[in-house]
Amino acid sequence: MKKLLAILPLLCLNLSAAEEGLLHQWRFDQIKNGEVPAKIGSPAKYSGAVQLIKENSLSRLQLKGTDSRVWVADNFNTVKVPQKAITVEAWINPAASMRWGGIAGIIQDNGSYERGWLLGYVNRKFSFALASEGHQLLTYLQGTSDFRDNFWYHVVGTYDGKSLKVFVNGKLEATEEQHSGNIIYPPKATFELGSYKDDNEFYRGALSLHEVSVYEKALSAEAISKRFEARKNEFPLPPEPLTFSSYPQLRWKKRDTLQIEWELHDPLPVEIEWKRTGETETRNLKAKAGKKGLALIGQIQSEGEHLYRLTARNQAGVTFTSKWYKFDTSFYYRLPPKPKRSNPFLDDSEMKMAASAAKSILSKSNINQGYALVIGSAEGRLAYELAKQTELQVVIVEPDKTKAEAARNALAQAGLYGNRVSVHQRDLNDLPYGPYFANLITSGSMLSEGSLPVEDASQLMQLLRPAGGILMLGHMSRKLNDQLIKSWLKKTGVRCTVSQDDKGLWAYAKRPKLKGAGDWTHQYGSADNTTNSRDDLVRGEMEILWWGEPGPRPMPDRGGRNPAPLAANGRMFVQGDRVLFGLDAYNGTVLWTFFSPEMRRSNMPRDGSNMVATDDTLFVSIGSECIALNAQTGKRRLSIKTPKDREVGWASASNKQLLTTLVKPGSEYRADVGEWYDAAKKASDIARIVSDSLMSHDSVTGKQQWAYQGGAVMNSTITIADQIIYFIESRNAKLSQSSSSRVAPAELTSQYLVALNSVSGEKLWEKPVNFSKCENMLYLIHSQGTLIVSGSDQNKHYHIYAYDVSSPALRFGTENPEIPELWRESATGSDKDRKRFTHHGGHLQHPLVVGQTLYSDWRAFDLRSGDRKMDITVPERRGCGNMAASNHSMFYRHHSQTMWDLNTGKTTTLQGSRTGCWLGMIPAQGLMLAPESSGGCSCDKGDISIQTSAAWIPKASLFRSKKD
Amino acid sequence: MRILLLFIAACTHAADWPTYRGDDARSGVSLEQLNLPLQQSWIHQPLHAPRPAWRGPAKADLYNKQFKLKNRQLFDHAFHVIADGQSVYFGSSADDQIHCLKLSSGKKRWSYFTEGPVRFAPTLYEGHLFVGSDDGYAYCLSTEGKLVWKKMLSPREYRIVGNNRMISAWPLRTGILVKDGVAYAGAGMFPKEGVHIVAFDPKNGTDRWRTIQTSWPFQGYLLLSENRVYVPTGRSNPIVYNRNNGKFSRDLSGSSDTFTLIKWNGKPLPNPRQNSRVLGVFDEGNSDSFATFTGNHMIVADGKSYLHANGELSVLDRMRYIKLERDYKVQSAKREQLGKALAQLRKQKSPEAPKVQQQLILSGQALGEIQKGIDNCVLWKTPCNQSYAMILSGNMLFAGGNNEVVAYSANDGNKTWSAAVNGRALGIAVAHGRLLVSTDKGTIHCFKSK
Repeated sequence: MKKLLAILPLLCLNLSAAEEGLLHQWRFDQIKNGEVPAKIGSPAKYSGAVQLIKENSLSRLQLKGTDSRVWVADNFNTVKVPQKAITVEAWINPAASMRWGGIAGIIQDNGSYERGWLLGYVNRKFSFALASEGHQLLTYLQGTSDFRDNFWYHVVGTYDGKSLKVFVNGKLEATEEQHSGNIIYPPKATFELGSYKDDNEFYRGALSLHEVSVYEKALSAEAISKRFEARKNEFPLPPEPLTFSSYPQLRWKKRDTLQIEWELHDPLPVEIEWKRTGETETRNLKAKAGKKGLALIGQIQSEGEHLYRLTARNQAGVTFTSKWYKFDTSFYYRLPPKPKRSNPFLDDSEMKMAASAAKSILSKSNINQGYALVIGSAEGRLAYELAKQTELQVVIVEPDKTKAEAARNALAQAGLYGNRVSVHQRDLNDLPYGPYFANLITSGSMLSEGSLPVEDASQLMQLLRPAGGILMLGHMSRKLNDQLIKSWLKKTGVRCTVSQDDKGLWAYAKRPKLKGAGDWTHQYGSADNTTNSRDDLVRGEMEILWWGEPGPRPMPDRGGRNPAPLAANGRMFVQGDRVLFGLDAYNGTVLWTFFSPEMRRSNMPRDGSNMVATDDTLFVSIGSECIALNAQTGKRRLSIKTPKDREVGWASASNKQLLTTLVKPGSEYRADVGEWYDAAKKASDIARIVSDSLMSHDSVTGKQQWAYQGGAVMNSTITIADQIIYFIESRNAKLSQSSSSRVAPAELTSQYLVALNSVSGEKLWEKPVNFSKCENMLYLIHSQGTLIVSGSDQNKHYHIYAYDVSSPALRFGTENPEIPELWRESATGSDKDRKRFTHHGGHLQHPLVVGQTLYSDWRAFDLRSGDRKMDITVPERRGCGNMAASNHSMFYRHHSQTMWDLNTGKTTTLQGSRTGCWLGMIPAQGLMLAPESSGGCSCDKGDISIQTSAAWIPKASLFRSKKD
Repeated sequence: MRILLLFIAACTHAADWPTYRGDDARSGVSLEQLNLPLQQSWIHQPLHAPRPAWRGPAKADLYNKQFKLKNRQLFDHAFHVIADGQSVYFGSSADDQIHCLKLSSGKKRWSYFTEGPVRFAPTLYEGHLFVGSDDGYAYCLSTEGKLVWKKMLSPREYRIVGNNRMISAWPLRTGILVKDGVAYAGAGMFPKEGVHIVAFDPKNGTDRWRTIQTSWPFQGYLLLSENRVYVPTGRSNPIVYNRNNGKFSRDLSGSSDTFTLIKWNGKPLPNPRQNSRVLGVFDEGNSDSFATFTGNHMIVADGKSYLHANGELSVLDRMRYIKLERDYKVQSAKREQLGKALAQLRKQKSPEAPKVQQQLILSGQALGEIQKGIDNCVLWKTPCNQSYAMILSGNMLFAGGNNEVVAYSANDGNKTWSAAVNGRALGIAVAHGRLLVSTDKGTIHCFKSK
């Protein structure tokens, strides 16, 4: 009997071994004395926090990820491994995502030395990496779908000597064609299961293994599908994902209530569950069946992160569930509530006059948020009405001590003092305030007493917010006449009107935009990518103007090379981690907050931003739609949807036109586990996002105007100037077969520089080009008829190409146009220079143009001639951030935020704050705007002692008090 | 008279709580012994909850795998109180006022308006209240709420929007400390604008010295030792000035969660084995020991240190620990020497080798004994979920938690008393037989012996 038992495993082994090409197979249903027996091949060993679990006839080996380990051999040379082709197949149940996770592999990935293969996962995407004779680098080919924790997946990676493929749950998710020839192995490496391990990295996975198999052949897609179908019912697979044509979008209704809206592909009833992170008790609500849904999530606790998900069931009884998404109730930046208190003032004629005036002011000005300045208190009556009827913070200036005290006491009694209204006892002709803060200026004393508020009206105008601030002064006592008021206002230089009705006189002025102020509407300033706002005001010495929200908590980690903030028409738009803020650029008031769980973009050097601004609209790309948000309120006014199986990539907008590109779903980078995208040779860092279509829509009506389909357009190169769209595309035919729009640079062959008419979409010209040296990234910018192409290679050397596109003939298209190359630069600078600028990411600098000068990396060139401008010394900086320019200055991260005055060459440190590792300071609106982007930096050095959003103003723009 | 006698019987060492955490070193120690159990005497619920300047830190430093970043800017998340025998005083970040309540009943005595948020507790010194405001002014008030003087600490009167309020560009965000006839305060946020630390006469506000630096913001409660002023700098480490002349001494570089001024005047060093390490020891003149530690609170008193960290309250016999640590070093050095000597003797095949080997064995045993002693220096430890605040009053540790305040016996760590409060108990004070608890909802609870 004993003999028979001893023979049984051998029989099993022989039976299994009948499968051709199967080298190893482990079924994790028994472990003993540190060993996992193999069905086929070599047994594996285990150690640490490993547990064999059998549930419902399904066995699994659980690895806790702390000190757990399973491995086949310390030296893979002691076991048989695939040489020409390979299939690695696993049934696994991951418990957590990882930056680099392993399921089965033999690798060394140490700097530029890359050998072996690994079936694993990168963050939440399953991946298969392999180094071959034809491509001696590990390309981590990633699938498209995100795995969910604690569900089973059938994951397969194959290589047949030509193609690398990743299959998830029987479906092909990704293919790559870079490799050829035999697999190349390192001299020595461990054969690891369930973890990622090489000589210098060991990432222990938190997961369960049911079965792992290794073949020395590539299984076909059909065979893999059959294998999945044959066993899928044994495993609790993830539920069918709920797919959206419009991902959930959340906005505050009030402090404890969020409005959520979404759109499905099919009309289904939806249930929403939510809970506080870390708690198990969930609450839920049901929404009516329909494609579009809207519901209120109420009675939510303040100050904390919450999870929510949507579940729908169709008539066939199939349940579809979204991921668990997050919102955070601490990201609420409205003013504290107004307590319910009775009016502290007598209901007399003074009060009636104040109430009537407030009504007129608010009705005419249409201002509800920000700051109001009330000159002369009227004992607080006018301020009381303004505060009561709006979300304004009101500042009263009152010279008389008794009146100031009376106003304070009354407003405190009303529960408004402090949070809503302040009274400053000051000389009215020596106001101590910084410029631009007041959205509304009015006067209590002029209203009730008939005295001009201040001697010099221009003093008030300086305090008024540019681009829409309202000065509105009422006068009821008829002591003043319109000529006197007009004369008083004349000095302001702003167009003022004085009108009269049966109640009195009204003076009204709306402050226009600052002359010379620039906008930052696109990732690199404007659609021409010059990284220059062309702001003429931001120059010379700067001074703090405001600081405040958002702080670091809602922001993504600083390293992901996140989308730049934008600014236009007095507003600033700041994208956090799946949360978006609209701010008043001149006083930091958070105008609106918008959450959407799939709104995330990173690795800007290889992609385009997901937002773009105009004067009145912010366009944001989320999944398969680009939505237009009212810039002042954050309310959605338009949605432009992509065709099926596409998402929005790059975008650009003007008042009339919205240009977008289409990418394959799930292609964008998200930097969710701390990626910095610095590595010069990592395919997972440097792969570019390419678009297969370019679309034009009317930005007001949403009507499609034209579409362009050519090759694979590199999003980081799309540039618009003078109604011409320039870009670089690859016409490698294989790319259209790829399941992802994230493409390794080596695959971007057959490159063309293309110009389209932006109005008609008609191709004007194209030119075959070869920018394959620009391996790390590829940028395209336009300035004054010069197109600049820039990038760096794997040795971090920059390559710059300049073309002349100034010929008028090129505007109308020509079949074989002459596109003269103006100059080319591949020099790398001195070692000393490089050391000063190659701090992580120093090789990724996006160029800037100021006037006739192109700034690239640490060098300056004449834009047209390419002559190096040796008289310009670009100051030393930390490499991880990108510089941003106005016409007279540049801003960049060194240790703290730093300014370089281009006129004097002087650098000034704005000590105490830093930016993130891309473009976080924008000189626009006459200010230097620096929303918080250092979030995640746990360093406590003095140069990072303040984490806040802030604006700096040129001292030249200040109106100095008499006492200064 | 009977009431007074009862009151005296109910507590010993009745004393004022004149500044944040009781004294200039922010020790959180009171000699006052409250007789437990306590019961709620009154509750004060202001119209508005605190409106803090700063919210939480980033959620994670993903690159460095740091997932629980410490919030070092919690100074104004509750209305921290001070108290004397008659009154409780606090400032409000929501209504810009300094408020005074009757200690006995919690009823309002008076309020005084400033022109900006008051984020720090006042300091009581020789019958006057000293308080700073975001309006950039230091105020000296009588205990009846009358202005004695006010002084602009900022270089000029200039107001801008800061933390969503119209405030001075140089808000006073260090509180004010007064010692030996000199008041100290800091003002300023953005180093480029110049950040000021000022010593001034508490009688009239006249400058004694003023130092302006351009490297750090000043935010957080000041600390004083005999010779130095410690100035918190928001999310960075504190910096140090000479108290007598305002000369910059050093910045306390090196990071950790929390810091504490342990002792001064050449007294023993802190205990590095209790999750802490010395950050700065100053040898010029009298020594200060200043430590950072991983955890929430550390109180050092009577040769012991009480640490709250990782959901646990523990107590270390510091004096014994320090002696044993010294012994350990001596014995380690001796053992190393013996080891070298033995190797040499064996090489020489000396007959002395067995004798030295025996000494080496004995030395190893001695080292083991010392180590055992070191391990026993932790006198007790107990689970403690109340991580928001901690003080030592008499032989009782009071810890502030979520909706509760709890007393632990300092002798053995036993949980002795607890009471419900409204919100996170971020501030605890003891004065004249009362326990005063401040929460993030703005509520102030007063407890006293039954």
